[in-house]
Amino acid sequence: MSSESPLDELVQACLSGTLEGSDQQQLARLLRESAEARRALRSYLWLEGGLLMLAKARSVGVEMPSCSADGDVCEPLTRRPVRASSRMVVWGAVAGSVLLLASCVVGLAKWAGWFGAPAVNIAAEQPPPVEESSADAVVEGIATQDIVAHLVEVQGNVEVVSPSGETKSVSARQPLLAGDLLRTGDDNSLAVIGFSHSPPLELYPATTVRLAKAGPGQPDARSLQLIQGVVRGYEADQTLRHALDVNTVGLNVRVNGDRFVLSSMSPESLRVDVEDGTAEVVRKRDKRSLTVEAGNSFYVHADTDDLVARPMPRVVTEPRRVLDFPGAWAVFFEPDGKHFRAASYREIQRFEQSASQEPEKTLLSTDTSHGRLAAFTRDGNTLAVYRGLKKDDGVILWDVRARGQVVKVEARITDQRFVLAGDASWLATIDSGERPRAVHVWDGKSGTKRFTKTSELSPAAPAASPDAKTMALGWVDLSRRDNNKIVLLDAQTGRELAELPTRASPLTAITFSADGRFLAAGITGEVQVWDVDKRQLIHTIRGFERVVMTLAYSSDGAYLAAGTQDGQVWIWHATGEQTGQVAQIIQAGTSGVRLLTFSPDGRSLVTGGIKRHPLMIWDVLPANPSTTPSTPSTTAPAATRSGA
Amino acid sequence: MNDSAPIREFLRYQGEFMAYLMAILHDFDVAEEAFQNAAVVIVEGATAGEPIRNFRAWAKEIVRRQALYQLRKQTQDAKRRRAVTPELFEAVTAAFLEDDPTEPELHIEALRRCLGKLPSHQREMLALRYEQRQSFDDIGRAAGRTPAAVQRALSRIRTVLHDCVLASLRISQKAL
Repeated sequence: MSSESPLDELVQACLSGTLEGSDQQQLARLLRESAEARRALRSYLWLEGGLLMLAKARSVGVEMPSCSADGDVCEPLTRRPVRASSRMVVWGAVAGSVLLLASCVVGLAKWAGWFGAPAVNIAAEQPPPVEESSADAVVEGIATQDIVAHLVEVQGNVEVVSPSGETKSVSARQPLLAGDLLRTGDDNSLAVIGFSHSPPLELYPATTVRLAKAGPGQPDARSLQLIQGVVRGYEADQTLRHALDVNTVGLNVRVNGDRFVLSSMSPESLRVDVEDGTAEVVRKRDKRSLTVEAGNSFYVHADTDDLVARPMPRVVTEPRRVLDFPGAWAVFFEPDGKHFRAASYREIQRFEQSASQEPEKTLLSTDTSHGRLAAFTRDGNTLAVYRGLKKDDGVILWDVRARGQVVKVEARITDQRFVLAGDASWLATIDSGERPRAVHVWDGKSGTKRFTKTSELSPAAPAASPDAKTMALGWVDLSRRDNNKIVLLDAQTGRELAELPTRASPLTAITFSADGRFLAAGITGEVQVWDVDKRQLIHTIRGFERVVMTLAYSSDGAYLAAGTQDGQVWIWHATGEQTGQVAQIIQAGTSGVRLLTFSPDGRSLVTGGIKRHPLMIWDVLPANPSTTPSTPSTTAPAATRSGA
Repeated sequence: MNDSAPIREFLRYQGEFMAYLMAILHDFDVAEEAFQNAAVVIVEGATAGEPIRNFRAWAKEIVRRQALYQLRKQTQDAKRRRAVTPELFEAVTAAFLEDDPTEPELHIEALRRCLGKLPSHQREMLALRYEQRQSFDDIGRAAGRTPAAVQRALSRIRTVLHDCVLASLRISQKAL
């Protein structure tokens, strides 16, 4: 290429990776100096990107990627035939990045099929699923070789969306194409998908799947992408064989013969709950496998050189009590442990733990909005509330006994970034829209600002030490997790006392233990426990792969609980030999848990959540075999290891 | 923005992002790794709870950082030749970061129409290059042409497509 090549040629060579020395200089100069050159580059970027995506769509199609070399624990399957009554429930506990594959396939599928080069037509290389009637038939202009299944039965609210986003009418016998999205409503809706060579699959309510073509060599496999919900597989005699319950997205499911084959983009672990029968988890890469016997739940983790199965407690789904106070943001247990107060922006309700009588209500405001934040002080005498609806809003500190306003702090808060010191001496607020990013600390008596800390990083999850002298604050670098850290600040002056390098995904919750010795930091997929005095990371809890919304220690420090974005509460042992072991898992709903408070004796836990989630009281470690704490083990007694 | 919304939005622009990464990194696997890492950061950022005001600008910045990270890795790897000079990286990135009104859906529709107008042998050549990621040498061997001739042919095809897409978008905008 000459030193004065036309702009288009330079740009194309740049995008093709064939631009050499002097031409690189020439293009850089043109781009710096000419808006037209920059427009041309962007224009060709779009073209190149479009070609890449169309090509990828063509080569990926809506093919379910089998368990790839990336996948570790990615192919649970039942080796031995399971009994007809068996039921296997598997939670694909996969990190958020798995979202990508699901969406990729969704997004790309609609553009598939425009290159049309026979040599690269993967679909043509596989035996296409054949409709029972005729392989050459045409249904509404679509060759039946594209049909992978059909609807057998439809009940309630069921929707089919084509890859191009078009919503199709729904009826029995309707053909389903690879790439079609099928959704059932969250009422009593149901859909049964029939396959030409395989028994049907049944979709539970609130389930979303995407149909896929069978993998190579598995022409009769029932393949779909389970985006959310529950899928049941039936055998030819219509007996129920398998059920999957997946509470994360992007899990690929293939039903092949008597087994479910699960895979996802980059799973490191799976939660397997086998109620009956036997499941086998295989890691393809190094041909290791684990047999998981029925009657137990396991967290199966792909370690660096082995598969590890840890027994897990069952998920508790029944609270001891449900309280109708959906706007509640804060809970304070009275010293007797029998009564507790819950507060929303506009009222306080006082409940007795074990009795079901009507709560005592104290109205703070006649405003009918639910508000956004509330927090009690350690003694329960002061309540801070923030409504967040009007421009003149601020944080109001109420004297609960006198029922009067103590002070108003003119602060704006977003995203629940707020903390009140246990003695109401200060509070910290974050407005995440502010630039530069900042956290403001206000005096709780005067309402004036004590100090502001600014950074290019994002502030996250402020927390107050029990003695109110220290504030912990996360600083998050969204692009470089190594930069993430917690700083401990003097709450009076803002002086930095210590830095705890978390070096992990964004911090979403921080809490101190009641004695202030430990600090727990919630990060997507893990909880780090730090020794505050020694500034040392002493323990990292992994294995739940969820976004932590809130954390709470029991008052004796024996338990640490995390409320997650998908409505679960995980409780771990926080002391003794069992430190870090899961003690209990609670399913408190399907939306995020933002409120967690242990009773003073640690035997009860109150939860609340977003989306008008009710308050619930749970027994911590009830005397129920199904919630027996797990034994610390990296090799599960009920799991056997063998070569695959 | 809920959990999947940022990813959906990210994927709307995936073509633009991948093309930028390819232009900077010149290696599909490396570009894809950068793309995946950017997606993870997007998910994490979205779940951190902070509102995202200008998603596309935010996502582009994340993609840029991932590109830079991979570029640095390439530089550290003595066995690999650095794809672009720092000057070109800055210039291409500046163009990439500029506001761009292109709507991905309209663009891809236009491209689809334009591809449909191409003769089959040109579509096949595009498929070999983009879908099978064959080198100019390999395509040349298959087509009985020299690598340089393949490169020129592909360049011509892209120019035709580029002009066709722009014309098609102009017509679409007039119709709107």
